[in-house]
Amino acid sequence: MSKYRKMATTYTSRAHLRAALVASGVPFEETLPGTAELSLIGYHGDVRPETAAFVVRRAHIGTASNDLGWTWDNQDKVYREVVSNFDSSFQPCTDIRDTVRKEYAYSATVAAARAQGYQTRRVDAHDGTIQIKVTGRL
Amino acid sequence: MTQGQEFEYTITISADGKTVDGTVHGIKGKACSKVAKILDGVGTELEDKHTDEWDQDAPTSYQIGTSSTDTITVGGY
Repeated sequence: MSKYRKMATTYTSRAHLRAALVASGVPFEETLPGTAELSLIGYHGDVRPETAAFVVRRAHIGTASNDLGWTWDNQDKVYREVVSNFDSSFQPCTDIRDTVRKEYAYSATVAAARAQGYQTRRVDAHDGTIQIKVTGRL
Repeated sequence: MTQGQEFEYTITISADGKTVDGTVHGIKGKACSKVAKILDGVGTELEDKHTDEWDQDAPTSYQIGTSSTDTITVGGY
């Protein structure tokens, strides 16, 4: 062992966030780049003040849920989750958020590895972690 | 002909996706930093440690003689 790194997943890439949502298998809506974000809908069917570039509609989460979104923070140049208080502790919503985060990290890592010509192999473990074996020569 | 160092980089994404960690194996010296950089796109760095092999010399190759296939590898493995 010669080097160890630990990172916190941060949504900075639209392409990887989109790839993560596709990989998660949950239906979602998205805006076109450069256009206004979508309004989020609350559990009463009310239009909420929050907007997002990517939205998972509440029908795909739970009957008492609000829409879940990822909005672009132009100041910090990151996408941030938009999740209601109720849904922040609602397991089906947590599962979607966790899966999207994992798939984002996977997409970003594998794209960087392949760009360097390295080989990658994915192993989904029973404990919910994803292991990536990257091999190559320097 | 120099073959280069073979490496394996084992990366683990946590169950909630909040953290990603990885350890480079098989590369001696500071060249492993190049491999570890593939995590740059994941997000913010929380930890960066060097371990025993960090201070070991990477293999050094010299090409000698009149033939380009004459190679001596010194150090490292």
